[in-house]
Amino acid sequence: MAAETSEGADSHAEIGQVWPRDGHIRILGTVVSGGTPDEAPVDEPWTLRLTSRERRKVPVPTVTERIVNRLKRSVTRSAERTPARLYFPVAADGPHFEAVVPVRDLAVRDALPREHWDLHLVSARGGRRLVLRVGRHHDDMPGKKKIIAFPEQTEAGVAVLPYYTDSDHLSVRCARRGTGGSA
Amino acid sequence: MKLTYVLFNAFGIGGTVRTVINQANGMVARGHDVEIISLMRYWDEPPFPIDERVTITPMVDSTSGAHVDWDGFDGEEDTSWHESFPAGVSANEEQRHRLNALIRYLPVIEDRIVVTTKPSIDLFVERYTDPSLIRIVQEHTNFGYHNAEWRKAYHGVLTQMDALVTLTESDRVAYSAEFPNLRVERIPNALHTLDAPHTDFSRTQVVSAGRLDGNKGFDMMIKAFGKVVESHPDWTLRIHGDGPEEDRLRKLILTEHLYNHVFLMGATTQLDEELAKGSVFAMSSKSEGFGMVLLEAMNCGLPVVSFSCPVGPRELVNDGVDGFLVPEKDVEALAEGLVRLIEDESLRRDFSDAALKKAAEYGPDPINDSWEQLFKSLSGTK
Repeated sequence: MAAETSEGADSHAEIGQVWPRDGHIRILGTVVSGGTPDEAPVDEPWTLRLTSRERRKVPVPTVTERIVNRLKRSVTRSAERTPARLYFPVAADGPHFEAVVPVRDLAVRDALPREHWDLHLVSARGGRRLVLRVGRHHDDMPGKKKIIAFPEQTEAGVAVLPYYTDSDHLSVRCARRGTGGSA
Repeated sequence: MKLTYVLFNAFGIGGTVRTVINQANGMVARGHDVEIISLMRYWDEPPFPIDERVTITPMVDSTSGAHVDWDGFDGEEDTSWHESFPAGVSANEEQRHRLNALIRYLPVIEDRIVVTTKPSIDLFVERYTDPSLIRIVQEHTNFGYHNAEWRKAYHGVLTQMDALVTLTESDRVAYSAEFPNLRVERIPNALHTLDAPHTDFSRTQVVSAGRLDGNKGFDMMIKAFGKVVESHPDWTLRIHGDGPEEDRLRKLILTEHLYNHVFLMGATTQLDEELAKGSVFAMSSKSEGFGMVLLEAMNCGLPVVSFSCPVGPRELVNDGVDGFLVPEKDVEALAEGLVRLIEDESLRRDFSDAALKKAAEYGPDPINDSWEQLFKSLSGTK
């Protein structure tokens, strides 16, 4: 178990390609450190972590709500609240990685009207937790938000769209459709 | 000599602005008195470097938020001229405002050579400047560009001018045949410098640039590049520029699943630097007035692949020597041309050497010499 948290200074998961199609978002890239591929081994396989910006802000449930939720969960799993962090397996070959996020896993039953998930690769090295933001910075093309647009995929009434942030990180926006909510 | 260039918008990004500012800089550096009239001004500075000795006079200055005429005029709109120009000229209120300001300015010009750069402006220069001035039309589009209404109005004006300068030889021939009594010269656009950055061929990148409008054919280029990535998935295409077709082109990139390979970069004021990042330049225009960006790409040492437009690329590109000319609107051929260069680095380097030699012919000095000679020669006739 990792003892310490590290954001992996000077390291990040550099995107090569993003393929939002056929019900999946496939992300290919390279773990880089100091601007070059990071060949050093890690203690455990990389995992792709999606963190909801909005879901973290959901207030802690009251005691009554917890009891009700527990009762609901005892009846059906589908009543479970989606956690603020979702994890997906990553296939790695040296510093290169490939992760696939099924769109249906983001089209959750308790989808918010609008939600943003930030992507990180997580692992550990030498007992230190590695948390690397997924983004694209080494292509000499800053301001990708205005340059690159990905296709939106809709599943179970939720439109799922990967996008580059103002800082050229990759995030995924989910928007509930068909209930009058705006995109 | 005292020179006045009349320009639609000295503060917008475009080929005409870039070349006129280059020319103004070149002439002022040679000791001439240079003024640029711009119909509008929305920004403090033009997008391209301009010599501080060049005076820019906006007809309507909107930098403060208000629309202020050059003479502070704030009276009733003069509509008396509307009927005697093609209808489109007076259709837009803002444009009428600018043209009214121009109509008051042009008669004030004394003892200067006037160079006008756009047919809709040429009409006013002919009508409202003193006919004893030397008046030169600089044609930035090709001979076949204008529709029947415009051609009638424009060609009527040309007979009253002292000279017409075309960018290409084919246009010079066409206008000379149409106007046997008009002095028609061909002076191509000058590169702003021969000291542009050169590609080092280190990137698997094709570049292009131009206004995102239907005429530039970027939809065909994107489709062609879709074929390129089938065999060369590590190559990307960057298109610099903006325009009315941007949304449609973005949709095309999505539907063709080319979002990892084709990038609409937006407009840039660092065009040379961006071009030099590429290893091949592509052009897909249906027609060109000159093809300035093609020349700028060659000036960065880029081998080019272009549709063989009758005007522009066909005169600038020596097929098989500094680039490939492929049949117009032939997407397959454009893709094949790109693939040939992508697969042969030695060919890219050979073409690059030849492209740099070609670009040198369009350096500022020889082109400014041509303009000076024309001005001097016309000065002796009036």
